[in-house]
Amino acid sequence: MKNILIIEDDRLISSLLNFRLKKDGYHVTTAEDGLTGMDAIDASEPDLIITDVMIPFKTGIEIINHAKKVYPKVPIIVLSSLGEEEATVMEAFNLGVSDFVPKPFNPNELAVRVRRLIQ
Amino acid sequence: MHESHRRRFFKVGSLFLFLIFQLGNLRAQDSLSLQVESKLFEVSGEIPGLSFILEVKENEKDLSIFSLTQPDHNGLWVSDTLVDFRSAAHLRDTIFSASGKKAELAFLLFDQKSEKEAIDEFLDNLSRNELLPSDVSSKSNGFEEGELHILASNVNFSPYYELQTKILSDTKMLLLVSTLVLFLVASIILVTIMYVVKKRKKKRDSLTVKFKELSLEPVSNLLFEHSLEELQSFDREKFESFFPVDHLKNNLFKDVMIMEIISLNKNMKGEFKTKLKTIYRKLGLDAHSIQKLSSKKWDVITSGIVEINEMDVVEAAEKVEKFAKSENFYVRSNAVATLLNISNDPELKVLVDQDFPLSRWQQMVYFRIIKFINNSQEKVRVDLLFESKNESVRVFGYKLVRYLGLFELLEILINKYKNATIPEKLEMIKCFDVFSYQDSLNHLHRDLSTADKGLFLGIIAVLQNIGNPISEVILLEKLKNGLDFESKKAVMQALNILNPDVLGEWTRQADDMEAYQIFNHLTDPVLSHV
Repeated sequence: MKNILIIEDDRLISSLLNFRLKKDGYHVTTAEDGLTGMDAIDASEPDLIITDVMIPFKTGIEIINHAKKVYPKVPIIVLSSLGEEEATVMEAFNLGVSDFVPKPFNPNELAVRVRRLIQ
Repeated sequence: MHESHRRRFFKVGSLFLFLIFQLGNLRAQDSLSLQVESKLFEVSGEIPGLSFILEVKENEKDLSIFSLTQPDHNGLWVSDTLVDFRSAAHLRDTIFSASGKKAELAFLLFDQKSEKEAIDEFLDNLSRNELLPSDVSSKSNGFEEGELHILASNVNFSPYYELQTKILSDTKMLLLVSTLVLFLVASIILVTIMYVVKKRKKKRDSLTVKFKELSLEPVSNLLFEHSLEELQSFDREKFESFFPVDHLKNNLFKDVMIMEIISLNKNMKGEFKTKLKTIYRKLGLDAHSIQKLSSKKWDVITSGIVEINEMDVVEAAEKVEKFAKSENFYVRSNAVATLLNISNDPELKVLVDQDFPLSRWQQMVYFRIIKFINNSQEKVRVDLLFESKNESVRVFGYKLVRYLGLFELLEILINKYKNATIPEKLEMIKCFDVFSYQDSLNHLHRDLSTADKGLFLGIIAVLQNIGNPISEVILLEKLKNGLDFESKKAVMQALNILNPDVLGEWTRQADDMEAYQIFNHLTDPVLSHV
């Protein structure tokens, strides 16, 4: 079973994604802030990471940096509000994230992207 | 309140009240006349003006053997005036032991018969002013043997309840005790209220967290396990079967559900938005939001209006309309924003009829809604805002011309310019500038004679971009007539852009050091950008 890590401070979105991805047969781990997110990266050996750009204690960029150091080949999907700085999003892409999903988003569409990246 | 807490509270309270009354008792006993009488024993002969007589009521016996006389022959025997209290007391005792008659001791102060209270006060005054003999204070604390017995027999018995009455008749003490009791009661009430409010809030918070958890799975289930068509075909009972029994009758649970649905609605798009709205309506949460409009609390009304806005409850428009002119800023702002969103009125009537001035924040919120309506639905009639009686609404209308690129309305602006107020003109000239509207130049040239410096500088800034040769002549004329530094700099800057040669020629001929310096600044390739 493929392992997906969701790092998202909005519990509602994180739980909903958890429900949706479990429905597709993935094992899902969630973290609500940057620190627990980094610990989860080290501990859970994820096959894919979904992270928000704006999360407490660490920035999304720090999370991506850490994930890329530990698992350089693991695909990362960045969730972000459209209002967030373009520079941050560009920086995330430069670090090698695989996809970018702006909020508001369609969970089914995200599930399709996850499936494509994991395959 | 917990039983042990209540018991402890009553113990502490009783102790506090006991201490207060004990203090009162002590103070009252200090004021007994025992010490005064003892002083009289010691020093009455040395107190100027103080003397005593004894009076005995006796009709049958002859009391002249005690040196008493009966001046009025009415049965009242009176002694000579005695200056020594000790002699008076001795005579009183002698009469009592020999005849069984109790003689009344009367006080004379400067030969005037006086009450005992007056004597007390007189002695206190003497004592305070240090007019009593110096050895009295030392003597008064210790009595010789036998004197205490004499004193005891001479001091009238005062029962304890009389002392208590004395405490209560002491106004200051009563006031102090009342204040303390009032303070104590007020503190207890305040602490109790705080405790209750805090406990309620804590309970509400924990219930909110619990309800969030409870609502998550059913909502996820409805969103991901059922298609939109299925959801639309479900009746209310079917929807309720997804949720814990009876929870949907709980108002807090309904509030939590609405919060969660609105939050998801903001973060999701496509079919999910429609699904969320279907869940909201099928569960009857729209009725709960509308119900909030009947509340007397402005925050509840505002949250109801926001929910109606977020979930597009179009049928509530009529009920929201009555809040569009509310005196409460938040209620009014949200009501207007909601009506703009759900009323589908391209004529923006709710905005035209606004009586209160629009703040910048309100304008920003309304602009986002109007922009959305203008792009996705019918074209909005911004021109109707120009007819509003509210100046800030008219100004907002002119801003919309600029922001929404409604250049077809510029002609209306030209027609309105002449009779417009200064704030309106300032907004109009920005429109002329943005659209480089040359037809406005006549108005702008005419208004260069305005006394309003803000408008003058605004027009100069516009002329700098859209001015023509006539503008150059008028600006040059203004320079020749003399201007303050700021206006001169703005005019020279505009002229420098319109026709640098004309400005250079004028500067050379003007013999004006200030103008010369401004010119050098404007023409310097480095400084001109500063």
